[in-house]
Amino acid sequence: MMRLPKMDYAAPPTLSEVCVLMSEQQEKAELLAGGTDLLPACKLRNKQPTLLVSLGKIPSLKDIRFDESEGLRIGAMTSLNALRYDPLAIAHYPALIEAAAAVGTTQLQHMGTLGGNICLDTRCTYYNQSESWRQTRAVCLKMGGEVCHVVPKGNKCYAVFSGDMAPVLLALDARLKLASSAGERSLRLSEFYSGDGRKPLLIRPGEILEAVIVPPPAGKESSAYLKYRVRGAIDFPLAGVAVRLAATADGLCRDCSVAITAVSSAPVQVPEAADLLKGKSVTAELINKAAQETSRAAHPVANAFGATPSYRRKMIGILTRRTLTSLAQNLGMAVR
Amino acid sequence: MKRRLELTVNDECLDVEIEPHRTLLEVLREELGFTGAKEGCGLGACGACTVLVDGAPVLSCLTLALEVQGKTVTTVEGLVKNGQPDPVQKAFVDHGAIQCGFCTPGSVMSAKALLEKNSNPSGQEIREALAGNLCRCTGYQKIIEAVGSLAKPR
Ligand SMILES: Cc1cc2nc3c(=O)[nH]c(=O)nc-3n(C[C@H](O)[C@H](O)[C@H](O)COP(=O)(O)OP(=O)(O)OC[C@H]3O[C@@H](n4cnc5c(N)ncnc54)[C@H](O)[C@@H]3O)c2cc1C
Ligand code: SF4
Ligand code: FES
Ligand code: FES
Repeated sequence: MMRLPKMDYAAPPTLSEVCVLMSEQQEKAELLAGGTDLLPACKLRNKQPTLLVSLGKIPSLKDIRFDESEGLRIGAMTSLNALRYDPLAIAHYPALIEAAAAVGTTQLQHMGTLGGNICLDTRCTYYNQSESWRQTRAVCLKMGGEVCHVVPKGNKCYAVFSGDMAPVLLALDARLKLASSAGERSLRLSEFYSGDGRKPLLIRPGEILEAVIVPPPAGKESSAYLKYRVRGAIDFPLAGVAVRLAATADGLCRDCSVAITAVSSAPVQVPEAADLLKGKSVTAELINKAAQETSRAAHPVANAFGATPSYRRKMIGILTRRTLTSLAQNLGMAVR
Repeated sequence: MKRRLELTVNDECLDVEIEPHRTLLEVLREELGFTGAKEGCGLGACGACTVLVDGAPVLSCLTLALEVQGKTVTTVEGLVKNGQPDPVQKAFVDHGAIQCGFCTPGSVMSAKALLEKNSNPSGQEIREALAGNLCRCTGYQKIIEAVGSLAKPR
């Protein structure tokens, strides 16, 4: 039996008690949401917290609300399955549904939460391995050592952010609400990722992600997410593209936003691609140019099983072309 | 320090003293004697440990036992009623959807969760609901046929 290291456990009934506990414990404690990312990391001894602080006893963290002016507010502990079948999300944000449905398996969607997906640790073929496997090599940067086995000449960790929800939320310009014993703060999702594979989140010690707020759709717009992976049934993305596209009454592109995942240590927006389309009539030629720009923004390295970096980069372009083409057609914009 | 866990397993209220780092799979198999759920990978990738928690299919290898405090767990043992197998179990037997049987308890629970929610699933819905249950033996076709045989047109 693959066992967890010895850890203590607490499940406070309110968010303020979680905040107090986390501020006292700081690094030795880890927040437990669905556990589908954290517990494998503990079993493999990538992480060895002394205390798990469960968010499972706080019902308000599972709320989903829609408001015409604020948009959709999704509690961090909302399961991906609950989000996937939420009528408000289905009505307004198709890409959120497509991404939630593309995460892992049915079981993982029931257990995994939106908050845990946004706060996902970065991944690497040299990191997500058992302790005995890792012991055959020098300790790498992400485990506190001094070398990287993927880019040996660099002094940076290139572990890859592989969440499916973040690119969609970036394309939709979502904000995060964070709570801590020092008070609340709100920031754009694009300000949440460091780009450092070792420590991918700019979350402060003791902070808890409370909710995600997705602005309301304005006028005629839609969104889509496409992902490339080895097995359609289960795997993490090797490349993922999310697009939001808005049309004017006469069928031009009013607004556009493109974001990519699984090709660097952070999910990123690609304004260079989106800006090409704004105010224009969306032609096949323009879509191809945007796809090229998006592919140029991808910087995968050889640390994921299943495809070479150059193939993943190429797939970013192909997925961009497909999402843009289908969205433009759905919105009745001419694609010539 | 051991903690007290109270839960309902297969309609029986149970309590057990456990260390906080134990998984639900460990507690079911090693403390409570429900050895139906299996450990394949222990890391969330195979589905052999699937049980229902409050009706939802979850991976017991990645569920901390204390997280199911006060909840209702159903394992494959709980499907047998009055000595009779559940229709899902019967369909698996009738369709030859079992070879070595290691994946079966997990696949059966995933199928059960699907059919409770959707009495007439399409072929695609069945495939998706069972995609998290790896099987080394059957090639899946017979499992899908077994579950498909239970789909009831409304
Ligand atoms: C076999 C397998 C396949 C998978 N495939 C995919 C996939 O295809 N796509 C994908 O995106 N993911 C995948 N995952 C990863 C994971 O299941 C999901 O990303 C899931 O949504 C994570 O959520 P969780 O609630 O289980 O996170 P947890 O494991 O509970 O938490 C993850 C991290 O976030 C922190 N955290 C959680 N909630 C909060 C909060 N509210 N505030 C602050 N910090 C928080 C935790 O402390 C932890 O460090 C897969 C996992 C497995 C095991
Ligand atoms: S990218 Fe390099 S430093 Fe980062 S986890 Fe992989 S091997 Fe370690
Ligand atoms: S043992 Fe739980 S998913 Fe493999
Ligand atoms: S019957 Fe052997 S693994 Fe499925």
